[in-house]
Amino acid sequence: METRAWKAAVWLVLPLLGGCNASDGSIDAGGPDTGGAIEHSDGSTSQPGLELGSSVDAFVPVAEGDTLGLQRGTQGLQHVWVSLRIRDMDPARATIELSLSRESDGYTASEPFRVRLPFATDPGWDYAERIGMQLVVLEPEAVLGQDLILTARVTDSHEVSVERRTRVHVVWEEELGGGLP
Amino acid sequence: MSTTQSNLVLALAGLVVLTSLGGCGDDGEATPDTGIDVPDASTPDAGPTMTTSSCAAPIEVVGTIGTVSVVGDTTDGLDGPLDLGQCGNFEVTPRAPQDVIAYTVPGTGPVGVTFTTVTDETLTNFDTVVQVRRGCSTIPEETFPPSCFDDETRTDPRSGGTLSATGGDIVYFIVTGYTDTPLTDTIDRGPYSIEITARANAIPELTGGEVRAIGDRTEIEATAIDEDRDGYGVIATFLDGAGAPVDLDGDGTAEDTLFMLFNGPVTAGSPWTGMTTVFAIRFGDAAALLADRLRALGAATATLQVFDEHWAVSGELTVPVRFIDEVGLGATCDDTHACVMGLRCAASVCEPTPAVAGACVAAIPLAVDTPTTATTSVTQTGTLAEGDGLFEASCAHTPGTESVYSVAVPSGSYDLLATTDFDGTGETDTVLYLRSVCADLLTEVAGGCSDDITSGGVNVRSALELRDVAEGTYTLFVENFGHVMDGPVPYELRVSLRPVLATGASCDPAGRNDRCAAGACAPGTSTCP
Repeated sequence: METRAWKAAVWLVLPLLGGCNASDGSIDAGGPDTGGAIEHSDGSTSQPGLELGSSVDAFVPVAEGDTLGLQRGTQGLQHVWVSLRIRDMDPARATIELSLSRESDGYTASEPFRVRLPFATDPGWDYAERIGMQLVVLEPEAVLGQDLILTARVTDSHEVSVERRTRVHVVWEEELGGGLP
Repeated sequence: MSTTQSNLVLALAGLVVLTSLGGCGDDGEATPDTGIDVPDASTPDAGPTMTTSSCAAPIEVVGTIGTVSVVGDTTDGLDGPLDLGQCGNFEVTPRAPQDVIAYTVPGTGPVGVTFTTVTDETLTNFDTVVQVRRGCSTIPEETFPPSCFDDETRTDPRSGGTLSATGGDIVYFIVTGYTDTPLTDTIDRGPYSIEITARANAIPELTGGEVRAIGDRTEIEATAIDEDRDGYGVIATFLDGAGAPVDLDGDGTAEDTLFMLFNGPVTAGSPWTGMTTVFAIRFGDAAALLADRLRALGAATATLQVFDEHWAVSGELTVPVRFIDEVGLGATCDDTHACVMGLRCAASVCEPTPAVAGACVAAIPLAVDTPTTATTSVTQTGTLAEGDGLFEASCAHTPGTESVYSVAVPSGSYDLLATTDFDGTGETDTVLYLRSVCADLLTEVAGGCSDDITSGGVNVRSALELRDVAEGTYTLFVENFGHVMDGPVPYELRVSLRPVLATGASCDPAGRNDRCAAGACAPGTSTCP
């Protein structure tokens, strides 16, 4: 029970601590995050990073102003594919939060997405990645033709948290030319 | 939102510890600069195992009229010690970690309790399962009221439900996860919170009712006094002329009870009236129409009970079973002749209900060109939403919403083809059927109903091939088999007119562009026999 309480305490208190969040809150180009260095007890430092991407079968970076395809799901809903790469974070138990909101009024057009999923790794990589997450959009009209903010936050098992936001646009997948995410 | 007292105390203890660590939640070990050590994320790491709550030491919650929240985390819990019976994925061992919440029902007298793990604290991919128990160590055996709650919706794996209890009772919530094999997009353990809401609940008092066997359908109607006005469904057993229970499902026993939800909200106020329409019931390994079984068994009366949205059940009442003939549009209706579904009896004549009349007027025309030399087609995409519909097919139960199209068949010799067997239909289990008169189900065209293209779940899309269709305007319905459970489901429909050729005409041996009236198109000559 004591250990259980400890977990609950971590959950409740961490938002108050600050200093672990590597996000500067700005809109950026979606490249690897370079802020928020973590200093470890042995004096070493690391810089947790998060990179935004798309596509269903391979990581395709998403840059500022990119256009994403709105997919028609087989169960009648719609979604955009979101992929992420992290660096210097625990890939095993990361909590991933995604959202797609309108820049004009902040309206959140995506369904709640707050999951814990493992990131894939490879000995040859200096990153870990999670490919092909479906961010569901209930009302296509809320996103088509709009300036949108795609936000991703990853919090690892050590409560190191990194957030990235990038401005994107969304069109129906069939209207998207080849070569784009 | 609040936590239990015990959780709150422990959380404050944790605050002290965390502050002393001085910061970032880091575990004190250097994070590798390159490469990442990857434990198997599908299983807990090798660190210390958390203890979980149990029947011996549950998380104790004293309820209030209103909502209390319990925050927990089963991430590193022990394998679930409690056998949940048929609840969750019972075929997988070890079971996912479990939390046991002992909830003291507030107030006095009947209380309705609603609970949900669909909260901000529960990860959206945590496939929670909640079992409700009255005795912590006792596996619920009854099928009614429900005790196992899994997915909230088809797209949300979290859980919610209701129960009825008495103030002062202790109800146990076993919060765990569904262990899918393999776990891919969901998890069976993790942080969660469960919100538990209680209110005083009036038990419905059943005051009247009737069972009507009309054609293929059986209507069960019940009226009850209930200050909450939250009637939800009816329980029925059927008796023969001697007052003995009948064997509905043919298994040799007469202990057959139907539990049915009402078609929709009950009438406003108290007393309220609710009605459910029953078509098929399980009969052996197959299905049978309830109305046919009641006729065959000579059912004379039924014993009814009603229940509310918290599954609180009324006392019993015995009501008559009546057998009524079914008639169509324009026919005379009276005490022994009822209009088919979609029609109503007005001045002793069957006419479309306003809703059906409106839906028929709003049917979308599919303008299929009149063929000259080859088959002509129109493709239409759409979705079917949740909710109740107005029309019923003959070959499948289609209580949900429908898409209604009108198709004009010109004079001449044509086949009418319709199919949903396209990618745009996705996984939707479609039903197609064709009527000559939109509102009247008795006018369904012979052979004009298709459920599955290939049975056994091989291809659940639909296809009609109607030959030599007479000139006229027909109504084509696109439905989902059963109700659409969550969110809209898509379909892609193609409707075609295929010319039927006379002897000697040039034809397509493949039979796609045309069909010969007198036999197969001769491959060698491409001429109709």
